[in-house]
Amino acid sequence: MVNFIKPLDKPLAYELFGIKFKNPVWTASGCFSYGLEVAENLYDISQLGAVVVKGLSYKPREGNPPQRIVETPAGMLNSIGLQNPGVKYFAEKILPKLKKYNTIIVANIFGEDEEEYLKVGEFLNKTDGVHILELNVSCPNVKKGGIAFGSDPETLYSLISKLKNVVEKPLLVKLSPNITNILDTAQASVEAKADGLVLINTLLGMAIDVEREEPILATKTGGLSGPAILPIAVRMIYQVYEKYKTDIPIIGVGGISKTEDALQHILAGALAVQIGTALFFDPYSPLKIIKGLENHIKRKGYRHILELVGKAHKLKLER
Amino acid sequence: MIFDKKYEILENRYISGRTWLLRVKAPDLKSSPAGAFAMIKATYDSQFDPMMRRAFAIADIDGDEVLFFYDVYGKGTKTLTYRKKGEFIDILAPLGKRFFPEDKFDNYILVGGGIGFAGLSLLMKRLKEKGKNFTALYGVRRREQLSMLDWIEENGFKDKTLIYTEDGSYGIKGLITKDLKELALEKENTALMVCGPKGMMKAVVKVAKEINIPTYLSLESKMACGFGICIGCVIKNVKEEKYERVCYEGPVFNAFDIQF
Repeated sequence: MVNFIKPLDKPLAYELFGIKFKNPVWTASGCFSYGLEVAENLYDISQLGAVVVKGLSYKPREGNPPQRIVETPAGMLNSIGLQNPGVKYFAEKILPKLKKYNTIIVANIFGEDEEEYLKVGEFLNKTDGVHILELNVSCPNVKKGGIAFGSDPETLYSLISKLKNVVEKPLLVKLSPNITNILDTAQASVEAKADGLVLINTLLGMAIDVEREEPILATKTGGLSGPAILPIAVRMIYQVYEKYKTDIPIIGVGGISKTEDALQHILAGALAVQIGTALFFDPYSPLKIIKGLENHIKRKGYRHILELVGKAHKLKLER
Repeated sequence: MIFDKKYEILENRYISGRTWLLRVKAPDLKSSPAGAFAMIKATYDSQFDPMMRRAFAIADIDGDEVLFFYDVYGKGTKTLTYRKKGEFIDILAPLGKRFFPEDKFDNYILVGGGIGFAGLSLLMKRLKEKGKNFTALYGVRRREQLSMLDWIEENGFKDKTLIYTEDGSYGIKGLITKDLKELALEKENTALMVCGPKGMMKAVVKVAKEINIPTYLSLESKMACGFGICIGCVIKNVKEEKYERVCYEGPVFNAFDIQF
């Protein structure tokens, strides 16, 4: 069992960063807007482990022109371009409503340059109701910022270090899979004292319309997500956990649409999982997965979900 | 309240042209507004090809039964044709936040191109219930694309509908915009309610701008979720200089507010 985390009474509940989580199932950034659409029209979002809101920059961003999305085999490409109303609007107009739903709120933060990242970080560090920050250094759909920070370990180290000077709230770093060796950016994040790693963001891809004979997305390329990327996410989590074990918490994201997928992430080393694209075609999927994890634990005779974190490694060593 | 449930298929059959009809038993959707749509998952649970739901206008509601018309174009709609009577199908509905203004005007002209007519049929019923005066224009290229003729007759709207075919194989020969200006100027306090292919809607908006008549468009867009969380289906609101979600701020928009 990992050592920086404290199990609570219920089999899915634990305390991490001094925050009590009901369960390890979060929504992924960019796949849940700011939570209100689901909360107001579908279900009580306080049932979720945490809600990660859509990426926030200091200045509002209009986002990319349409067409922004296209379905691909067992997945989809998106190029939304971090459309968001800016962090001040979020804090004044959206957050007060979201807070009422009594859920853990994780703010995904983004900047075009280091200065903007720091401004957003500082602002949200002081914003009551935001519990955790998730650093977005892996968005493949914006020209400036984003992945530029996420692909160069030195730039990433510098950004995280500076943010850690101004942010007291837990700072997670969402890593990009669009890199030769995920351990390079993971290492930079660990050295810069990130509080946790989130892996993985989307993979850069393209789809072409064979009739019009041109890329389908207006920005040509987009981020691939959905069930198609599950094995890539699982492999990267496994790799990172293998190196750092319990040195740093890992939150898994990528391709999860059902309980078995979440279990793969957890067994590879994730102590929480984020549901992204599955929300689009099955908005209740996080709730189904929470129930599924409870049933799995019971059926296998475990007392707590944390007994499963990273277990795929141990099994391999014993063989 | 949005429902995400499995509803029983009562009928799923080919009509004509590219068009199929899907009838489901969905009592939850009884009070859906005219202009609302549904996201339907063509595949069974945990099948990912296709993975996303597809958006379809709620074409009619009759008691517990909800009717959709769909054109078969791609993998999603092709897969939907395989679903059989008696099976249960995933439907997320009713969706949308802005609909056709049913009370605002005295006279309505409904302009429906091809399968877009299914985006107006429920409005015809609602306008009739409210005692509003309306004329529906139904335009297609060829006769076999008039897949909603039976529906129009069964619901007693034959006298209220003007039919246009581009090749003259049925009704009036010509484009749906042929008599639009005259019809729109006939009575005071008239508005256009439009749904159809982009080219047709552009032509309608051009006429509407010339005579400055209130016009509402029911739009379609590539959607992943259909309920506002993916921000994929946007259209530019030129008044407010920002992108709005077709699924959540729409699907019905004032034609003069958007970049089209």
